[in-house]
Amino acid sequence: MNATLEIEKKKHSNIMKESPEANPKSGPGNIVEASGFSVYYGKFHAVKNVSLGLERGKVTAIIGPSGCGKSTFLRCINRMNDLVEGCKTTGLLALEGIDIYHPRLDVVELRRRVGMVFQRPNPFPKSIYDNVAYGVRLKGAIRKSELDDIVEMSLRRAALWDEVKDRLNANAIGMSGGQQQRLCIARALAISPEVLLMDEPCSALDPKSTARIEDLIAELAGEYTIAIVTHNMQQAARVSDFTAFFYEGNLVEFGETKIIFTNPKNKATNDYITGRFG
Amino acid sequence: MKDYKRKNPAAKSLIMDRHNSAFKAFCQYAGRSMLLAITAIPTISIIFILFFIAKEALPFFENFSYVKEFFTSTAWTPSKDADPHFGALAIFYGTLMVTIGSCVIAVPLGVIAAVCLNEILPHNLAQKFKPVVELLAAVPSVAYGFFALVVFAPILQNHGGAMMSIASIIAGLPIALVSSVLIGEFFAAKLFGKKKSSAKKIFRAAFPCAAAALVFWGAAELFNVKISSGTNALNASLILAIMALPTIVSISQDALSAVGRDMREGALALGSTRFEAIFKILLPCAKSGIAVAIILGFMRVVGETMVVWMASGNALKIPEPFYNFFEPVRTLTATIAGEMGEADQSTGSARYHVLFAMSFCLLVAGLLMNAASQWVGSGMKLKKK
Amino acid sequence: MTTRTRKLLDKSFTAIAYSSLALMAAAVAVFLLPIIINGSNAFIFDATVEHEKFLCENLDYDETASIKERVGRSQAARAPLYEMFNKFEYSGLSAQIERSINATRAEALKKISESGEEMSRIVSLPREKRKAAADAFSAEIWKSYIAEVDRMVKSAHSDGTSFSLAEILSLQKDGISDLCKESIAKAGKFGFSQRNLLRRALTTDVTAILTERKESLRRENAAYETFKRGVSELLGPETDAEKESLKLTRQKYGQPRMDLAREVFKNSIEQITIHDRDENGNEISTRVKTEEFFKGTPVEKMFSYIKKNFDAMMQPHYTVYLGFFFDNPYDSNIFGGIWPMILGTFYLTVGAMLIAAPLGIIAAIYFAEYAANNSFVSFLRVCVGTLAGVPSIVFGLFGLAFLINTLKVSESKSVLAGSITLALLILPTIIRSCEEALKSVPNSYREAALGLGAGKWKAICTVILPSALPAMLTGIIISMGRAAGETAPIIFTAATSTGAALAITEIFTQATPALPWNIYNICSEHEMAERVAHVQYGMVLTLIAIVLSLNFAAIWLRARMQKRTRV
Repeated sequence: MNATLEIEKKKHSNIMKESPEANPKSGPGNIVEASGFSVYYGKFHAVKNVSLGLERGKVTAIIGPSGCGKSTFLRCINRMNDLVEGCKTTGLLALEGIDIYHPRLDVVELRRRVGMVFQRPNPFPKSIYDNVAYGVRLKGAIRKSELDDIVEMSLRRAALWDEVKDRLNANAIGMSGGQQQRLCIARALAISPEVLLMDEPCSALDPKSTARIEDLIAELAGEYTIAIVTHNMQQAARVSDFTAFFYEGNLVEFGETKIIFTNPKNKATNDYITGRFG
Repeated sequence: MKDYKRKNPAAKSLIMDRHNSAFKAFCQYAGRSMLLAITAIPTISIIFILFFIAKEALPFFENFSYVKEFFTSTAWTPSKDADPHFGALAIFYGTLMVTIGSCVIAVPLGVIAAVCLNEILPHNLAQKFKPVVELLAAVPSVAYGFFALVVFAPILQNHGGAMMSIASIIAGLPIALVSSVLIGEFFAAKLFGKKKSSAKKIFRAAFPCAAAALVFWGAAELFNVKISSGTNALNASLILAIMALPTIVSISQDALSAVGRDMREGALALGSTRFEAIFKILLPCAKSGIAVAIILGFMRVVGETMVVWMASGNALKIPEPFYNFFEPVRTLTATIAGEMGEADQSTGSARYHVLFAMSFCLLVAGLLMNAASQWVGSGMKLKKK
Repeated sequence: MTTRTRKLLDKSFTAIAYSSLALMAAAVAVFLLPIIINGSNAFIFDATVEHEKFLCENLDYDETASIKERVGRSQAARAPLYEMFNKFEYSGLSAQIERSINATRAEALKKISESGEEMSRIVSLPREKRKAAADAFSAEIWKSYIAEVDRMVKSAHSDGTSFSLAEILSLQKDGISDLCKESIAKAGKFGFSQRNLLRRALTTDVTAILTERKESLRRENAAYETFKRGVSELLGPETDAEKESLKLTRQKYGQPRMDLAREVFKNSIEQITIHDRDENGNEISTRVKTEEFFKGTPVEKMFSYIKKNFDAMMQPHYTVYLGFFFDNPYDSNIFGGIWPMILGTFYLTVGAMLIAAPLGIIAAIYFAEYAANNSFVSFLRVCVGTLAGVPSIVFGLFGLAFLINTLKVSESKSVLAGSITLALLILPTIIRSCEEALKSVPNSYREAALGLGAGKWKAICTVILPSALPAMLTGIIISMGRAAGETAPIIFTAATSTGAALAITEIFTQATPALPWNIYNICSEHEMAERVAHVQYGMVLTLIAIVLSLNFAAIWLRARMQKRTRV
């Protein structure tokens, strides 16, 4: 598989040279790295020439007003945007040095390594157990005891085990919204991805569930690399190590969360986090 | 009230006097009841249809020996004056046969086509393909019957064996190859474990080779089949399948597109291939809608008259052997259409009543299937809530 | 399962899915292409002069100068052929028969003489003294046989007709058997085994020869008749007087289309079918080539004349016969057009529409605007769905049992009864599509109209209905197409296989021909299905064109609507 994923070094270095602003944070610690990355929907330029890196084991928050391209960028990392017709990308987006948009890239394998949690909880209309086991079973037959262990561990990590251990065979549709979202996280964790993308995971949830998810993110940080898109500035400040601010498709500012929220360099960033627009 | 009116003459128009208000209320009531009366026409029609078909069928069902013969015997000589026989078993069997035949063809094809239109083809291309489905649905049944009788039957009769063998290769080969590869994979994993070895490779390659050989052998066998009559159960089943396709495709497609985008994304984000996302998530999510589609397609097949009348050959016997689709059969609808013209329509002979008894069976089957589809469909709606 | 296998599954499934769509598209093409190609052949075709003759004489088409000229040319080309026929009628065939009979006689005599010799030999062997008696006996047979055959041939000639040939031959056979009986009686004095030998010699051999000769004569005669019939099928009768005496239009005219004319030439002139009976009396037909079968006879000349002057006699002429849609049919659709069926379909469809559309719209308004969400209304809805699920043939029987036998809306089948039945059939579709259309009108329209002081009914009539109208029309037009194509409900309520176009006043009492029913009829129950193949295809094409153009109109309307709402 690695042979097919091998990056064309030439292309890589070319882009690196051409990209106007070199990413200040680019370094060996970055698991996902974008440089000069652009996304078009037809003629609409949704993400403009973005260069940033997600550091391994850290939580990176992506903030910005609606329609600024932050979700689009996130969805590009596991190529979820392939589902959108007329979506084109230029520039480089790499996972551990491997071009995500390489023509011979194995999308299925990529998505196993880059998990995703969506805005609205989307459990399958199956039992809780089957939901978590779904991704594991795709890989082929597995012993029942082994599978049980994986399911239990994933649910424990998602802080859901205690609530559902007695009704693993109940339909997931009957759970509350917060539980459903944690189930989705457990489902993503079950296939042990390296990167976990979260697209506004709390926007459809009540404050109590939101708090639980935030705790969960804090627990998972370190073990997984997490990228979270959020509208909620406090949330970004609370859970993330790094913050990227997107505005009209551009990456306006990127840096450590503490610095961004206390001493932003850019005026637009300042205006946004102080709530003047957005 | 009076004071208020005097002081404020403009209010006169707002508060109607009693007479006027009663008139207006009456008008509204009358209008609504008229609307309701017209809306009830389908209901009244259903009741009348049930009543009149049952009424004309009753004289037949009253005679118990006839009824027993009706469902158990194949002797059908309703036109004889002395000792007529009303054994409709062969006719029921013919109906069952073409229905099953056409569903076997139409259901997988229709569901896969719906999946392709909704999940695989880009949206604008799928939109362009839609008129093809609508066209298939719009063509009158008698035109399909004409095609079956005049165009297709002679071809089937003269080159039936060759056609069957080509069709079996086209349809069977990919399915046989894929399933044999899977089976081979399964056994190879069991026998050889995870190591790579040339023995394992050969073992795996043997399965698709054997499957291909099997398919070609079957095709060669079919090549020599002689079809005595081009109007037979196969012809009717094929054409009926084409007729049922648009129903199955469009309703399954609706059901699939009602499955949210989040299910699709969720499945793909966990690293499923598109095939796995479709078969493990989307189809199970849309299963009640697809069931409704299949039932409605089934209903269209059972109730269809002209195609089976023209294409099935109308032979009054159970084929030998019973699964032989190359033999002509006869269906309920074709019997009613063909014999009612000869039966005495106004005075009501035994033949007239037995045909109504048949249509009563058809009607009951239709109502039951309809109820089933509504039940399944309502289950679908409940789930969504 | 390895990733490779999963990918393989995914790819093969994608391929299967694409091929299922390809299969559907192919089904449409395979279905439509023959119908379009052969169907357009019904009104755009290579016509012969007979086609124009028919139109001018029966349907009051203008007999233009060019038509007159072509008729004249074809008559000029046909004249020599007719002459050949007439000459052959009086000399050719009778000479032929005479020749045959002479040959028969000679052969029979030879055989008899041989058997006589044989007999003498037998007789002479056992006893010398019976030689004289045997001589006398055989001489007697000879004499009486010759006399008999001569008499018969003479009588055949004196009649002047050559067509009682079979009779003559049967006489001959009787005569021979009489002779046999006689001679056997006379041979009584011989021994038993000799008698048997004699009997065999006389009966078997001679009768076999005569039978064979008779057969070949009969065959020739029948072949000639077949040939003559083929020619008259191709060209029609020679004179007007002859034409008047014929009853059916198909006998009065030759082939109106070149494809049919060529077919007739190939099947009934170039090769002819002779019907025989085998020893068990079963009919067997053999096909022979005219050129070989009639070698050396005048018929061969006729055949080569027809072959050479085929185009001159038929005067082929490429024509667009739009009258196919507007002319009445003649002689069970062999000639003329399909106007009554088109008109009948039109009456039935429009009638069904006039009944179902208002009812459907009103019911839809009730469901969409007035109906409360209670169990009674949901019962009404279920009934709409159920009505949609009733098989169409059951509607036909209901129309028969209720509308005609109980309500007696008409004496027997009528357009009215058919229209009502069809209306019931399409009512659920109309209700559903109109309800959908009304529901898709934005609620803000309703609120705006009510807010401006319109009553509920007024709001529906002035705001909601107009904005839902295009979508409603789409549904109505599609169900109109369905009504036009339905066959089963009209079999027992409205359709008749033959009949003239109805006047508008007759629709309440009369049954009508209609395209769907007549397509069935002309395919399954026509006595000369192969001669009306083009009409079959033409009818199907017309019906499909009507239904599909209605559907495409609906699709177009929908597309336009979508565009408008998008802007």
